[in-house]
Order: sequence, then C-alpha cells, then structure tokens
Amino acid sequence: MKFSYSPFSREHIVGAREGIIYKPTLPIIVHGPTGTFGLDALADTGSDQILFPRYVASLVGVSLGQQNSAHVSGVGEKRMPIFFVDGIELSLQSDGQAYRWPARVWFSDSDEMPALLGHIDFLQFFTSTFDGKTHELALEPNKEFPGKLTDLWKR
Amino acid sequence: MSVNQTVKEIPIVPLEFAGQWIAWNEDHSKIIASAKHLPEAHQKALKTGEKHFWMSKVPSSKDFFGGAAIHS
Repeated sequence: MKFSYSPFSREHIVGAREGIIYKPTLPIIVHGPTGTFGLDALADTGSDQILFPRYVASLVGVSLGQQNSAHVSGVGEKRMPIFFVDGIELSLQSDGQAYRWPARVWFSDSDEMPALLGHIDFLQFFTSTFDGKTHELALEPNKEFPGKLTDLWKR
Repeated sequence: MSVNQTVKEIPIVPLEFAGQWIAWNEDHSKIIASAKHLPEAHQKALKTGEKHFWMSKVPSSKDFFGGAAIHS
C-alpha cells in the first residue's frame, strides 16, 4: 500500500525556501478498550517508538500511570514524560480495509506534538520505501507483522 | 490488498493553519475543523456531524521538526 505525503505551506526559514514541505504521514486508527481515534501520524525513522498526544488516551479508554512512565527527548536536551500503555491496537487503512495489529504505545504528557510512528511495533513490521521524488511512502508488511486484515473503524 | 494501492493526493494545508490542529474529513479532501489545541479541534470536528475524521497536527510555518527517542 502506498500513501501520499501530506503537503503543508511554509514560510521562509533560514536554509529552506518558502513554499511547501511534504511529510510522510499515515492515517492511523487507535483502538482502545472503549473507543477509537483517527489521526494522521508521522512515519518517523528517527523515533524509537509510537507516541501519541495525551488527549487520545482519554478518548480510547486508557489511563496513564506514573508506574509506566519514561521520558522522551528529541533534538536538544529537553525531556518530556511519556506513559506506556498496553492493550492498544492500531489499524492502517487502504481501500476500505485495514491492517490491524497489537502495538506497544506511549502517550505524551502533551497534546502539542504530532503523532509519531517509530520503530517499535510499527517500522519493524513493514518494509518501507520513502520516495522523495513522488512524495509517496510505500509500506509492505513483513514476516514479523503480527496483525491481520480487518474492517475499517471496527472497535 | 495490493502494495500498489495509493491514497488520493492530499490537498495542501494553507499557511493559516500553521501550528494548529486540524480535522480532515474521511477522505482527506476537506478540512472540517481547526483550533490551536487538540481537544478543542476534536470537539469542533465532532459537532460537524462527520462520523469519521482524522486529526492532524500542522507543523509550524517557521520551525523545523526533529524526531524522538525514549529515555527511562
């Protein structure tokens, strides 16, 4: 399955022209104990893990506890608390059907960040081709993929 | 499912939404809600009556973005 990158308008930044920046985002559905949440998540080869904004946790029915907390850092020294939650499944749609799989997921302490799809339980399950010319991301489940095909939006 | 299936091209997100959360309709053809914060944008999207939609964080128009890693 292939996904078009998301194009965003951008102003001039030092070292980058104004115009459009393309990001490899994917429409992912988070399945929790009591609900689902659809969001565009960034396929991030620099990220260790799957990370979602805190708000999503409350809507899919999971609570975030200090006993399962860790920290995440990006570029620079700033660290942010994150919370591990078990029992989440994710699905990725294509043409009315979805690949659905159990995933270890972390939730941020903040809502001011994009959803990230990193290596643990996402990139490790797919052969991914980032085409910078066509702005498309091709994903093909590999032999480690633990999920199945299912109907979209089903809880 | 074929590996060659491609979702339709997503429209360009206008500059006015930079730094905000937006909600796309189900086929990513139209922005149906927006707000600075995710809860507010989500509530606005729910009020549109759309059954399925996608929340998306629009990057800042003036900053670069870096990735993330776990540290316990």
